[in-house]
Amino acid sequence: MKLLSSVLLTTVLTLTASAAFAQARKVVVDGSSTVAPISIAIAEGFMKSPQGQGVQVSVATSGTGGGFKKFCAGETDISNASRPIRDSEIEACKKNGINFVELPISFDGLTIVTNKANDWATCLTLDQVKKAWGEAAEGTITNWNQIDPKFPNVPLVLFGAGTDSGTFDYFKEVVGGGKGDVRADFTPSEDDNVIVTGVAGSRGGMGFFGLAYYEENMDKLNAVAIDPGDGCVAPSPETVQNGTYRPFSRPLFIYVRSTAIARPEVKAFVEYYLNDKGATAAKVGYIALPEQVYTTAMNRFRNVVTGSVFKDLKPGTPIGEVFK
Amino acid sequence: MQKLTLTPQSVAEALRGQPALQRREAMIQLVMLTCAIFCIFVTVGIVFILLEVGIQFFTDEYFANSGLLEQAARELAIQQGVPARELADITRLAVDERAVTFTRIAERIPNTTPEALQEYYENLKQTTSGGQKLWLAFTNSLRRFFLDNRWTPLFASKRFGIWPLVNGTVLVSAVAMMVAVPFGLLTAIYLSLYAGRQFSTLMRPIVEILAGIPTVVYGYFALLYISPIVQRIYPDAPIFNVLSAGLMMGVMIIPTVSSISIDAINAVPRSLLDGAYALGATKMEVILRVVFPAAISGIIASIILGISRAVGETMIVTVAAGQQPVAYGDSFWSALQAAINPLQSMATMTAFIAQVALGDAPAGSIEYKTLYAVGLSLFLMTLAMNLLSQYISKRFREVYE
Repeated sequence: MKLLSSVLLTTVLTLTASAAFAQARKVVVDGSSTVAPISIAIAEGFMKSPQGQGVQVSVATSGTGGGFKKFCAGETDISNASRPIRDSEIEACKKNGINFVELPISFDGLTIVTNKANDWATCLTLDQVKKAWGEAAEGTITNWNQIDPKFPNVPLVLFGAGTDSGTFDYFKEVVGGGKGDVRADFTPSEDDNVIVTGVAGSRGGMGFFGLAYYEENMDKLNAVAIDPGDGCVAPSPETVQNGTYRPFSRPLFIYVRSTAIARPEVKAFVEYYLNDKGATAAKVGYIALPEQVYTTAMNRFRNVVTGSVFKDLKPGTPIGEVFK
Repeated sequence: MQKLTLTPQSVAEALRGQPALQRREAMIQLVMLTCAIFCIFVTVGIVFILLEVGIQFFTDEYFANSGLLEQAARELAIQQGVPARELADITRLAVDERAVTFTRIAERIPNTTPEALQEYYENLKQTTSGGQKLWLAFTNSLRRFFLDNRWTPLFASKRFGIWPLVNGTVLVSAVAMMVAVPFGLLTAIYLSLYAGRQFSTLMRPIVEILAGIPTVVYGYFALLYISPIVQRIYPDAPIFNVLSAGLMMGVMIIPTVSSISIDAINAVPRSLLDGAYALGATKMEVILRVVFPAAISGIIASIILGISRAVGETMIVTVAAGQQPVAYGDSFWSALQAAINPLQSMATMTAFIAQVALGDAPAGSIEYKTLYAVGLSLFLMTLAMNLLSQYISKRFREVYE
């Protein structure tokens, strides 16, 4: 047994070692699929810029949780996150001697989407969302007319972000109110395109992901307006920015390993990221933060201020209050 | 020139006194031996690892802890005079060590705070010996694996009932075999007994091309071409559904069923057919009364091999059947409906393994170990099927001179 695994291991190690020699200046980014479009767009711009000549930036999408697992094992330089880091993850990082700088980079409105043929659920109250997605619904709420008797008799087909993603965690926080869970009988996927395909292909489909994916797929999907108790508000960059789209709006972060900052390519990449001041984020469908947030973040980064200030952030806090 | 008769003795004799040739022969033999040993070694190694981590799953601390919590909840409830019929409802809540779980259980027991429950539980944990914990983990995990009806190991409230996944696997395979058996068998009968020799030699390789198409291509074909057709007939069916994945998988399995059946039919001695014709039997009678019984062992073996392929197939179901373990409703009828409805998304055992392997379950976590538990169950299923197929081919083999 030991012998066998060591034989296998040696083969794998030889293969990876030969690959490792080939890479010189690389920035490894992993984590949230919600943040990935921003990081990818930034990386493309960076690699074309004079500072980024000869640097390879790779952006993978394991989900926020999956990204932190790798980040705290020291496998990645930067972790994308669609929620603040958790205490348990900070512990895991500490155990491996990894410190990080936390940098907010933009704002997002978690968007609930339905099929184009769905003309009944243009607006859902928060209670209806909880009714459809709460753990009590598991195996029992299987038709749209069970959410609201006014809705037609159409089977409910649910898709959502994977359980390793920050989007899922965030959705769970809101739907479960911090205590309960989300029902487990939906199709979870770390790949947001699976959710797009699923909802666009099923008449009774409903799913959720970051606003940018909706903006990209507007022709295939409807976005549901959310009524937190004082009227329906549809998700859009404007409503997220002015704080009327509640409670599904949230800040997005990148976490940089402090020891990686010593590498010039990582430092240059993050500085390029912050100097962009959210312009790229806005271009791919997210919301830029107030300018002074980027200045503060740049100071924190230059002085390598480690630790998390956002870890106790309450879900649904509007943008104006997050960065007071 | 001396004439040489090839027998082992004559070969050995011819080689005697030619050390170079002898060495070469020995070398070739050694290479072959190495290959054989390598294959056996890898197979045994894989099964071993599967068993090792599978057993780790069934003896994981996670299950020992939930078993202890269950015990704590039961004892506290009895102390507080909770009627016996409510006990099962309370102990059912004891699934993990989250704060929520403690709160939920404490709510059901009078005069008990979550803190008190936790303290009682920690005490119990201290006083229980390692051996007892191991036994508890083992029994508790087996019970939750085989007697629960929900599969949600990736969620916060984890449940480990394997049946929803087995259900998915069996249902997809059943749909697939409904396509593969009639099409495969009728193709086999036509090509071996009706078609002309030229047509048959042309057609057989063409049918077998189906077996050479990568399964991921089948998966996307099912998603992009078959699902929309299914949806045209049943507008409420989701795009990821068992029916389209099953139909596609059936097509994939046709060559497995047909080519083994063709061989089985061709192996029926010509004299048997001629005898039957000589007695004045029609072609259909010959096929049904003579060829079929004579070839039945091969035909059944081909079908079981097809089922094995269906059970182990991964890409088609991952891409086209959805990745949602079926949830049974509260009543018997809704559960039955959920179990046999092919117009819904379902996760199979293989699709679950692919899903977890693509994400990242950290090595050693309970999510990671579920991979091996599911893999082990899958392995046992296919093993049983292969043994059955061997038994059947032996049991029903008709031997002719």
